[in-house]
This record gives sequence, structure tokens and C-alpha cells, in this order.
Amino acid sequence: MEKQKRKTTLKEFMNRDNTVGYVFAAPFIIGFCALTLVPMALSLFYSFCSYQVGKPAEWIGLSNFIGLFRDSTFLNSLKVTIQYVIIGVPLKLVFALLIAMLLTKPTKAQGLYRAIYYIPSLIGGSVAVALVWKQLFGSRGPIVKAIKAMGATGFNFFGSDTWAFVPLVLCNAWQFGSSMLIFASGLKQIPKDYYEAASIDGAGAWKKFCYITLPSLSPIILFNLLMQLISGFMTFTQAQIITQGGPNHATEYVSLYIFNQGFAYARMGYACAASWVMLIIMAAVTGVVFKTSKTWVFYENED
Amino acid sequence: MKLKKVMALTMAGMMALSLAACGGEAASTESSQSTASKEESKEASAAPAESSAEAPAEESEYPDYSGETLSIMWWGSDTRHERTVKVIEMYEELTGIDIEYEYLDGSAYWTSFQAKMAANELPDVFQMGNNWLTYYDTIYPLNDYIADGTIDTTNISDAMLATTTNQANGDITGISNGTNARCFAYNPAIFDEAGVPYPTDNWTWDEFADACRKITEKTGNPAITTLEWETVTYSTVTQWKEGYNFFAMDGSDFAFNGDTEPLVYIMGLLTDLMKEGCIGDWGIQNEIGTNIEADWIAYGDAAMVMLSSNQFTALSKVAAESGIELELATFPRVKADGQSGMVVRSSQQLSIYSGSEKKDIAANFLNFWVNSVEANKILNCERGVSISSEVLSALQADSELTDETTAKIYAFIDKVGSFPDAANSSPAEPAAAEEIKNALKQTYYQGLTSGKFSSAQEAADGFWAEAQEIWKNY
Repeated sequence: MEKQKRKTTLKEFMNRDNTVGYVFAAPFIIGFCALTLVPMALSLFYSFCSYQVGKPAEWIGLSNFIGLFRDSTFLNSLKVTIQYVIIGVPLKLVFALLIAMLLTKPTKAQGLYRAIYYIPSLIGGSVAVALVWKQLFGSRGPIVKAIKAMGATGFNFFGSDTWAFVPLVLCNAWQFGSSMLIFASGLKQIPKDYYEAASIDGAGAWKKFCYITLPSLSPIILFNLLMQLISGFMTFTQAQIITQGGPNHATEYVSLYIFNQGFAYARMGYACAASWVMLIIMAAVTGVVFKTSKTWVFYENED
Repeated sequence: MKLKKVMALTMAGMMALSLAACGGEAASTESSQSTASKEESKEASAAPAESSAEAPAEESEYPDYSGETLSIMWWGSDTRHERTVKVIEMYEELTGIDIEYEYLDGSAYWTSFQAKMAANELPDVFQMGNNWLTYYDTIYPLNDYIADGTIDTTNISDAMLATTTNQANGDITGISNGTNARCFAYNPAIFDEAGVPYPTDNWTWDEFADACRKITEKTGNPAITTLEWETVTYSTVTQWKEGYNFFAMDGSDFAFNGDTEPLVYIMGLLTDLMKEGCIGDWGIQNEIGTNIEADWIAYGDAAMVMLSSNQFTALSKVAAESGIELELATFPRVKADGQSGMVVRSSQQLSIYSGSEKKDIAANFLNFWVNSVEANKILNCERGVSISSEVLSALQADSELTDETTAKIYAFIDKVGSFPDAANSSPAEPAAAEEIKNALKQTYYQGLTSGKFSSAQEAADGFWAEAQEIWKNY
């Protein structure tokens, strides 16, 4: 037996479950190493360097990080990003849950509706949608015209540092499709008996929602919340295309700040440091959400 | 890290997309030429062949490069892409070379340029702006090629060559694609309607402010939508006192003794006008951005716009569709009898990549680019007024190529060139210029309009302090 094991033929080796698994996963593993792991390691290294594209990197220790926390533009970008996440993420989740609940009402056209509502997410991150929103909320767009018709002369979303983020948040909320689908599948898994039992006990729709739907859905809410938090922190396209961070840095989110430092001013080391700070903040926020989740997430199989 | 990953992926995706788009474009133009309009292309190729047969001396100018390749990259609008591709095809026809080209819009260009620079994969020839000091290491100086006549400069004046020369060491960094001047365009009809006199050659900022207020009162729209904030600010510094410049001509320092008076003057004046609704708010500024064809003036809603003189062609074309005829005006001055603050400069240039293995071929292409009358009949000064006197007079002689709009540009550039203080060269843009420019607009102008700074003096002091701080980083 022992001898036979050592002399595995190539054919046998190739047919092992593990080998097959790795071969099939190879495209991802290679991609992950080449496009994520190596760039990550490099960016960690560069974050301690003064590095201009095209010039050799020079080790400067923690100077980039110290500089970042003295940079009022960076601190402001952290502030507006957090503001965006705090307003944008709950809005999107509520919206997604609402639509998901409407769509789980069994109708014949359910599949069609779902597909239609999912389309914005497919095209959502694209430049084209950002351009459409730019027109829609722009100074000559229908929305501003309607607001002006109601008497607000000179009003313009993107011209005001208080209002500029609103269209961006709405654009994000509009791309609720993937969260909606996840919610919808979660809703389907809630046993019907719960609702029937509640009805017999005389619970109304609101009570059913609060005491059955929300607790049963809490693992899914946690998942969606985490995904949206992460994507919220990484918001880039809309800000870059629609407002370019303006006015008065009101929509200069961290990713846009990093992009500008890295690509507009060729300050790669500094940009890398900023993205690591961002990573740490995101990890911390995600960690906190995980920690608190024990108190509000309900798992059925827990006893 | 996710962020970086996504960014890297987005960048890669964008690049792939743009490459695919360009590839598709090139393929489709080629295939359409080879199938749909074979006759036409035969005719087109016959024309240069005939002319070279008449003048055999010219044929030797274009050696046989069959089997060779050359890569080129530029930025611009659709009109520019069309014309440039035609000229590239003409050169391919003459030399048998195969040219790979890539074009992007202005903002995507620099992102792509930096990525290529980092990977040492820049094309042999690339379009470069007045920011060449930032990318100095990538540029191969043309001095030798000009000295040995590979690039013929007999019809190019020294002043024109100086527009792309590094004043510090004499390196010629590229061949200018043409000259332009920053200026204002205005719609006389709206000035008439509001009862405001037209801008004169030495109108002042006070007259400008007055005109803006009267026009906005009449039309209810901003009199002028977009401004190039750093340009108006820096030119005010130049106007303030003889010898003042925001950046020194060789880009080595600031050149206004840290005198914040002109900054306070112009920042106060412009933000007041914006608050009164006479200048488009920041949203409008951003929406229109560099897309001059989208400016309100083209639709009769705004009375003025600030632009580069070579953009006047594209703008007039769109405006003409709404029956609007536009005129060019100089910058307003601080004092009517003071400095103009205007400059005739190289709009952009073609440069040779320092790492290119085909510098000789690239130099030959540059020679064709700047001196060939046939090629420039296609380009027709879309990038700026041709620097070759021979080419320019050939274009001006042809009434089909020099229509009324183009004639206005030629006349305007002549006029600005005749101002005593308009040096015939542009200052080299220091590497810090881009960041200083963004700080000026995004932090100080926008901060002043939003009330973050209590006075123009506070904003100007803050800006000057930050500009010096940024300078130290480069």
C-alpha cells in the first residue's frame, strides 16, 4: 500500500479531488496573486516611500502617514466619505428591502419586474450612468428646472457644497439591484407558518414585519450591510465623473483623493499610504459591525 | 486594499476599453476605406503621388519605411481625431510605414500617459502640453535633428521655436502644433440687447464686471458661464505691475514677490460676480468643464466664455447652428493703459519619446507634420495657428480653408502678438503648477464663494502660503 501511494502516476495525481480543485481555481488564484496580492504588497512598501511614477522610490519611513493626518484635504475627504456612507448605505438598504418585499408578492410578471429592477445595478457603476445623472441633476436638467419653477432661483445641486452629495447618494441608492435580489431570496426562506401563526394571534402587518421579517432576515441584513459599507467607502465613479470632488471639496471622497494624489500629482507613495489608512478604517468599521452583530443577528440554528 | 484592487481593475478595464475602442476605430476606418470607397482612396493616393512626381526633390524627403512601425498618441476632440488620422494615413501612403495610433480625450490622456510612463511603454511620438517640464525625462530634445536639417525649420521663426524651448538649457522639447492665446469669446447680440458696449482691446475688469451685471439683469442667466480660474488669476498678476508673472518664464520660481494685492483684487471681483449669479456657479463650471461645445454661449444663453483661440472654430460651428455669430475679445485689464497680460503660446506640441528606438523615423514624421502643406491643409490649424510661415500663407491663400471664423482667429493672434507685453513664448509650466492650480480653484475660490474664508484677503493669503508649501514638495 505504502509503496503504491508513493508512486502516484501523473494520471492519478491529476484526478485527485484536490488537484482538480486547484486547477479549476487556478485562473482565480493566479489573478488574485498577480492583481491583488502583489499590488497590495507593493503598495504597502510604497506607502513608506516617496515614490513618483517613473522615478526610483525613496524610503522615508512614516512621513507619508504623518503628512496625511496633517493634510486638511485628506481629513475633509474622510469626513465627507463617512457622511456619504452614513446617509447612503441605510438609504440604499431600506430601498432595496422595500422593493424586495413588493416583488415577493407573487404575481405572474414577478420575474420580469426583478429583471427590470436589477438592470440599474448592472450598468450602475458605469461612466454612462454617471453622465446621465450629471445631465438629470445638472443646471439645465429637468430636476433643477422643476425646483426653479417652484421659486428657488439660482438653485443648482452641483453648485452648492450642501446639496452636491444628494444626487450622488441617490445615484447609489438607485443601484439597489444586487441587495434587492439577496433580500428577495432571504424573504422567500422565511417559513410561511410564522406569518400564519402571527395572523391567528392577531398581529398586523407592521408587527409581522418587526417581529418576524426583520429578525429572520437579520443575517442577510448583516451581509448586505457589510457589502454596502465596503462599496460605500470605495465610491469613486460618480464623484469623479459628476462633480470631480467639488464644489469646495464637498464630494471629494477618499478614493477620489487617492486617485488625484496618485495620478494627477504623481505622488504614488502618498496615495498608497492614504489607501492603507482607508483600508484600516474600513476594517475597523467592518469589525465593529461584526462585533455588534451578535446582539442583533438571529440565527435559526442557534440554541 | 479592496479599494486599490478595484481601482486597479477599473483602470485596467478602462484602458482595455479605450484600446479596444481605438482598435475598432482604426480597423473600421481601414476596412471602410478598403471596401466601400476604394475609388476614393485611389484618388486620394493619386493626388500626393502626382505632386511628388512633379517635384522629384520632394520625394527624397520621405524615405521608404516599408515594414517599419511607429506609434503615436494624442488627445483632443473628434474633429481632431478625424483630421489627425487622415494625416497619418497620408504619411503611411508616402513612406510605406505602418503607424499605430491611440487617441484619448484630454483628461484620460494624462492618466494613460502616466501609466505608460511607469511601464516604459510610451509611444515613439506623443502630444505634449506646456507642462513638459513635469515629464522632462520622457522627452528627447530635437536640437540635433533641427541642426542637421532632418526637421526643416527654415520657415519657422526663432520666436516660434522658442515656444517649445527650455529657456534654462536650450533643449527644444518638441515641435509646436500651432500657437494660440487664451481669450474671451462674446455674443454681440446679447451685448446689444443689454445695451452694453462691446469689449474693446483694452477693456478693464471693472467694465467686465459692469457688463456682466447688466447682462445678467437683462437675461436672468449668468453672463459668463465658465472661466479658467488660474489663467485669469495669473494674468491679473502679470497685468498688475511690469515684470510680474505668477511663474517665472523658465518655470524655476514664482515671479511676483509674493505680492498678494493682485490676487485679492481678482479673487474678490470674481467671487462677488459669482455670488450675484453673473458667473456660472461651480456646478455649471464643472458640467461644462473643458467641453467648449457644451457652453451656454453656444445656445444663446450666456454672453461670454473664456477659451483658447483654437477652440473658437469648434465653438463657432455649434453656435452657428443656433444662428449665433461670435467674436473674440482680449482679457480685461486691471488698468486700460496697463499691461495686457496676454500671451501667444504653443497650444501643444509633438515630442519624441526619449526611450524610443525609432527617433530618426519619428523626426522625419515631425518634419512632415510641421512642413507638409498637404498635411496641414487637412489639419487646418485646428490645434493652433501653424508655426510654419509657408504653411500658414498657403492656408490663408485658400479661401475654402480660411473661412470667416478662421480668419478671425488669425487676426486675433496677430493682434495679441502685437501687444508690447505679449512675449512670443509661454512660460514653462513648473511641475507644481497642476497642484497649485487645483488648490487655487478648489480650495480658495470655492472656499471664498462658500464662505469658508471671510474675505478675499484671507483666501489670497491662504493660497499664497499653500502655493509655496506645494512648491516645496516638487
